[in-house]
Amino acid sequence: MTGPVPPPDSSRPTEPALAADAPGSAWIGTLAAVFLAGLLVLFVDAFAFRSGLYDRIAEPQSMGGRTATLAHGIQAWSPRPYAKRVLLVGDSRTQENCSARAMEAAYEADGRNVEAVVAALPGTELLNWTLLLRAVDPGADRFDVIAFGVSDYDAYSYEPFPVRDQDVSAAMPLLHLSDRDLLPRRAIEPAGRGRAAVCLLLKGYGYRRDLRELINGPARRVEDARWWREHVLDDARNYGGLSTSLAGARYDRAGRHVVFPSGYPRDERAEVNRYVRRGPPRMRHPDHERRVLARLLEHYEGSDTRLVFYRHPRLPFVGDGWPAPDPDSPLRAAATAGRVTLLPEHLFDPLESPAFFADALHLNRRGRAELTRTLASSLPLFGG
Amino acid sequence: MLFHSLTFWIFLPIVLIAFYATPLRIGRLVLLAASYVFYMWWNPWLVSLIAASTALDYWVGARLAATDNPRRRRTLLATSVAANLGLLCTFKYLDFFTTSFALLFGIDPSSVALHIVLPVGISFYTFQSMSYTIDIYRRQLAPVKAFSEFALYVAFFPQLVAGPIVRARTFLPQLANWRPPDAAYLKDAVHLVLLGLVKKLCFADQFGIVSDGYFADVPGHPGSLPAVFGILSFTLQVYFDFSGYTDIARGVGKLFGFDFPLNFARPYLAASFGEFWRRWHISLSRWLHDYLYVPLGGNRGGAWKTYRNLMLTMLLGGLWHGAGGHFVVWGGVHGLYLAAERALGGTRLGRELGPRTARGPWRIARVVLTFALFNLALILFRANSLAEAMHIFGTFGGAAGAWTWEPFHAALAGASLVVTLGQEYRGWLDRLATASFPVRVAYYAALMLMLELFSARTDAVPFLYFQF
Repeated sequence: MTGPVPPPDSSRPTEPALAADAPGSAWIGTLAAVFLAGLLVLFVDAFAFRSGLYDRIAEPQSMGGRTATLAHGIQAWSPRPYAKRVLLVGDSRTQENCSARAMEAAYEADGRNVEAVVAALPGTELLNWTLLLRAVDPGADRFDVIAFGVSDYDAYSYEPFPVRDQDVSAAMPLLHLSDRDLLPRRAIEPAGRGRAAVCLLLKGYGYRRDLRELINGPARRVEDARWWREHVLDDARNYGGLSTSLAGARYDRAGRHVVFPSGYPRDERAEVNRYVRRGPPRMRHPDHERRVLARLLEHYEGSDTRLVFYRHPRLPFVGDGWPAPDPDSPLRAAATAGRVTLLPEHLFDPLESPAFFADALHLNRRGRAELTRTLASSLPLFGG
Repeated sequence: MLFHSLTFWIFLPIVLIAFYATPLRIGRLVLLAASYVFYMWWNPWLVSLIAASTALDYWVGARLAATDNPRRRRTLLATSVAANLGLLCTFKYLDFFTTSFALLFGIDPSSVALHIVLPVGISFYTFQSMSYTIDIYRRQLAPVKAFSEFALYVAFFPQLVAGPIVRARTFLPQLANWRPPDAAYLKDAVHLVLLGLVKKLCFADQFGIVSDGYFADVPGHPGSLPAVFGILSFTLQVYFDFSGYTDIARGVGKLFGFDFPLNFARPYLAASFGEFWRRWHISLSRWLHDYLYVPLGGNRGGAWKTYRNLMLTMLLGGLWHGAGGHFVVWGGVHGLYLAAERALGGTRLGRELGPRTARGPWRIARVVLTFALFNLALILFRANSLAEAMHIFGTFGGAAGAWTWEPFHAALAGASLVVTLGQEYRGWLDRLATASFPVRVAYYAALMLMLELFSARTDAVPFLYFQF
């Protein structure tokens, strides 16, 4: 057995730790290598993700993939010569409630040459639509009218935070570093905050799940992505709307439930009841709307494009207690200043009936036809 | 404060700057204070335990060196061992033993459970502190004069929470003869930290999702395939999680100029359980060997005493991992494996086959067999109870069930196997860590890109071995 290890002699005078060695060349070399590696990562990230290269193979049915695919489709869209160009922007309600084909037919019946595109991103809001427009209409001159379908003109919401995690996902392909002022931490729901912060700098971070699914099925994914990039606008154009209908349903106010017509799908009834029961929204996010609207208006400053807002039909059964209009809301203030056009708020109230609804939020085919026809006649497309 | 949390990466540069900006005698105190702050981040009150253990063992060490009286020396050593094991038993095992006894006597265990909070790192710092007093008792080490140096040895934050279990005779000379880290140290540090983060965030957490999903609802995943993938996922999770932690701990230690011992050496490439325990959690294996197996007699008392000593060491090693019967059984199974290997190696057939199967295809077969047996035993470790483990064993040979691995998981497992083999036989990772500047920049960037693109979750998931 060897003898004891000599005791550490703490009585020996110690040299200064820093001395002349640190931060010496060793540290400088190491930090330089780490720094350059970081720069290389930023470069690769920008090349693969920020450039839109990866978006070519992103899952077309994901929140981000849909945004990238739709953006590509609209960028590639080439309207007929001399046609007035209308872009219908919104969430799933725009997808279900508006028909580009029907709108064009309505104008054609009046002898007008109009081409319409539905740019609907389910589960999104004004932030996503603003980023989409920046990408597809960089010169603010591709459209004569852009019509936004919204829930109301007063920034009311059912959500505690104006930016949900799914909004961050949908915005991912179009986010720039300069958009950080659109995404203050306090505006984002907690589940999306970390990701939003990282993704502003490293966009690839927001594609982790997508990349994993790509590895799970690369051939199928590439084919799907290619198909959707070619056909996204055609698919929206050829879509016929929801075939289910709440026609014949009534609302039992005492029991607070919907009495459905026989034949209405059973697996959708709980969801309809949930939405109808929750009543009017009580939360407001005017600051967020003001921020995003300012960015939208700045983009279209000096443009001939008319920005029009309309309110979707709210519910198949609308009770009392809906909040009063706020004349100082960001949208109304912008309309007063002449920067946007608000269609009459109650324009589509006649459609707030189960006869026109497929579920709690979306119109059926009949409602879709009615809304599209009314919208077509209301848009300020020909000097209105 | 987890190594992969934002808080730690704010804490670390502050401590580095404070350490290097001060003379060494102050720098040591900076490290000690930082280590206590690090520990208090978990629970400020439990820092009193580590402080008390430190104070006692420092005093015991000093008293041991001051006396040659055998009886007094034994009493002092017993005091240290009893205090440390008492701390460990109280906080880690008291609830287990009281509820077990209650069950034995038909009493509702929930009525006697004390729900004692398990102090983070207690299994590691008590063993580390005991190694100091035991080595002094054995006259293999002289006590350190400065209390702050001993306190830093026990509490040094990179290895405080989950090892490696560093011996005093390894750490204290480094502290006494401290030099600033040179280029080789720093290259190694960066490589280890980045590699450790990749192991944890891109591998351990990914496989952890599958493993946790299976073990959270075993009856809900019927069939042998979910069981196979579930335990395979845990096998990979536990290795990447623990070795990832150790890599980060070693890397951070090197940033401060300290070299901690290697704790994992590609254990799943072991061709026997003897070899496995020389590659897995090496610091704990060495500790158990030096302070338990050898004092019990080791292999010096004939075959049956050797088997007994192996069993006792592994049973206690199992118990170290947690207060649960299934941990003890798991340890016992490994004891059986080691004893069986020892027995087979002592036969004529064993002596003939041993060298012949040490290389080539036979070695591969041995590696696969060892890995399979390890996985079987790991079911006992991971299952929520012995009954659940038996249920899982019962699924083998039955209906297949659903695939719970995606091609992504297979790709991760395949990639990790290729890199592991590359490191084992060609030293790939070592070569990358010490390569020329441009190559290292590309290597670091590749690791960072892996973190960006393949990390499993957004929130920081604790390391598995924190629960031990």
